[in-house]
Amino acid sequence: VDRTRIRDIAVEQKILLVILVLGIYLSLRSRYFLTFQNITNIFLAISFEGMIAIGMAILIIVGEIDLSVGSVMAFGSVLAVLFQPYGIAAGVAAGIAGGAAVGLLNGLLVTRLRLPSIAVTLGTMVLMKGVVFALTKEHTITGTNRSFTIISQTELLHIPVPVYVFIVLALLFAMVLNRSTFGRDVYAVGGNATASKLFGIKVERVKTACFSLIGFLSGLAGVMLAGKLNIASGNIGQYSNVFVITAVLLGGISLEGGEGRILMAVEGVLLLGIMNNAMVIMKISPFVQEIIRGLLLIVIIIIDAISIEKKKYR
Amino acid sequence: MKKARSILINNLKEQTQVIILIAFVVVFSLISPEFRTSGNFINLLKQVTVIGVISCGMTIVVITGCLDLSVGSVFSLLGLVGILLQQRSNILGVVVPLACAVAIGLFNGFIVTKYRVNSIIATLGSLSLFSGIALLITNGAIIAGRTGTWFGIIGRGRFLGVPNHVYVLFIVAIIFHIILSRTALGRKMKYVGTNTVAAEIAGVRSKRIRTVAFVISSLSVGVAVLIYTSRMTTASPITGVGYEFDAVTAVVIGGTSLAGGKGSIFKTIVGVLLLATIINLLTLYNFPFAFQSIIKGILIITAIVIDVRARKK
Repeated sequence: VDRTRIRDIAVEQKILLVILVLGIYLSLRSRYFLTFQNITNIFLAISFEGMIAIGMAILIIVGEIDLSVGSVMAFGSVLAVLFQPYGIAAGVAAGIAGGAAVGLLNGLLVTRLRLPSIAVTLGTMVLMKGVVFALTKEHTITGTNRSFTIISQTELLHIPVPVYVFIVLALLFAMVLNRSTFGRDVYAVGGNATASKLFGIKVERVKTACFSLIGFLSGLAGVMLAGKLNIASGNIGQYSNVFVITAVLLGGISLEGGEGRILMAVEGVLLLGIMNNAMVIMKISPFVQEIIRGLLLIVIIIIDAISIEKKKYR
Repeated sequence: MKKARSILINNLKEQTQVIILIAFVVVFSLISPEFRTSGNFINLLKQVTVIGVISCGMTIVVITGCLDLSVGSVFSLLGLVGILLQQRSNILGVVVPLACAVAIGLFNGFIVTKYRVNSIIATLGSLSLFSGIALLITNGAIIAGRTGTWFGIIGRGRFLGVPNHVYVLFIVAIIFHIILSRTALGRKMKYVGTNTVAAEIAGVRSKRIRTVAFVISSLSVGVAVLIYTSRMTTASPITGVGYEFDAVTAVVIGGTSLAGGKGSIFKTIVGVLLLATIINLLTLYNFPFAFQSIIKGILIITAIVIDVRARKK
């Protein structure tokens, strides 16, 4: 094995390396870090926004973005609480369908009316927040169906269900992107929408599907979150868009579109999750955590911008 | 005659928002006796000064083709800084927030222009950053300043029966209007917003112009903070939450294009009044607060649709 090869692998897997180094440092610093319970907690904490990050990765690869994910997640959780009197399945279905519907709306607005996605989803973000507050009358609402919590509190091998859902979805969509026609179309449209159109790819349909997918996943994340404590409120997901976009970019997916893999988003989410966990272990104040999250997003997009610039000159 | 008529029609098309505003006020006055009282009109003007001043600054940033989502958390932060210092000295309570505003504007402008990053995502980052700092300063607590000093003159004083801060809004609007329509700086801002590459080829330093726009935006937040602290003599780390959306809504429904290059302060003021009139009516009829958010979301999307349609023609 020659040295350049090792260097290439190190550059390629830099996020994994950072996770490893951070993990070793934390396990030396705190006896609690490397316990089964804590690792499970980290995965449980990231699983909800992790589901959304899968959708965000695909959306960014196709060349669009969605700022409304947090409001849509809150919408999904509120619907899950409101519809659970009709049965667990009704609550789950309502939350997911509601999220997917908002995603579809975003997609149609962007593709049919040719609007910039960042501005449209800023609008739907405010709109859906209002809808959620209207539905909850600005209170935290509690579910009446006690058994609803089985969807998130059930454990297999001492690991709660949302973690499995996140991992299965990540594997599923990694395969969809790699193996399916849809995946190929996503990369083609993100790489060059005009050329894709000339090749007969239905660009509008692919993009609408990606928006619907992230809506679906945000709704699902909301449903699973509601299942955790069986409560919902308009304050859910306030900073989810910052978290998810930071995670996806941190994983190395560029805002330029056309490139990236689901695994990168998962790595980004995992790293952010470990960082959040570390900040809690080190008893860093939540206010400082917010400062760090803000700075991190700024640093990440600067690095992304620099690497896009470099690519142009190469 | 024909020519005169077409000019008239074109002018009317340009002023859609003004016509809508007038129609709203007339219709609302007819259907609601509470709305048409002079007390309510003064109230309406009093309510819009803070958002109005912030929106004027936002207009400048939008014209250069960017967006500043950090204004809300910057507002909270500067309010706390102002009140903390005003507890000791009124002058510091006025000067330091404005100085901080300039520094914050330079920070935002530097990040966005130096690395050419998307301004929405960058300022989403600084929103989180400054809101964290604001929460940290007082550990989440609300603080109060000293009352009964000249500090309250902007917020509580009146001249000829009109609150002083309404004059402040007018002065800010007029200054910004002059900058945009009469100065080289304003022209350059519109060039940069229309076509950055072309503007740079023509010798306009687009990075510097955009940075100035961000400074103007933060500075107007600073002025809005003075109005607020002067009136309330209190500050909380969450005062400004959501102000960014109010300002963006006002700017886009006024008719300033989010694509940059086009827009005016007059339009934004009309947008601010339009938004305030709608919210005022919702409040008078006891609609829950949530509906304000729904209406704002619908207005933002509608305004973007109209703007994109208009540019296609």
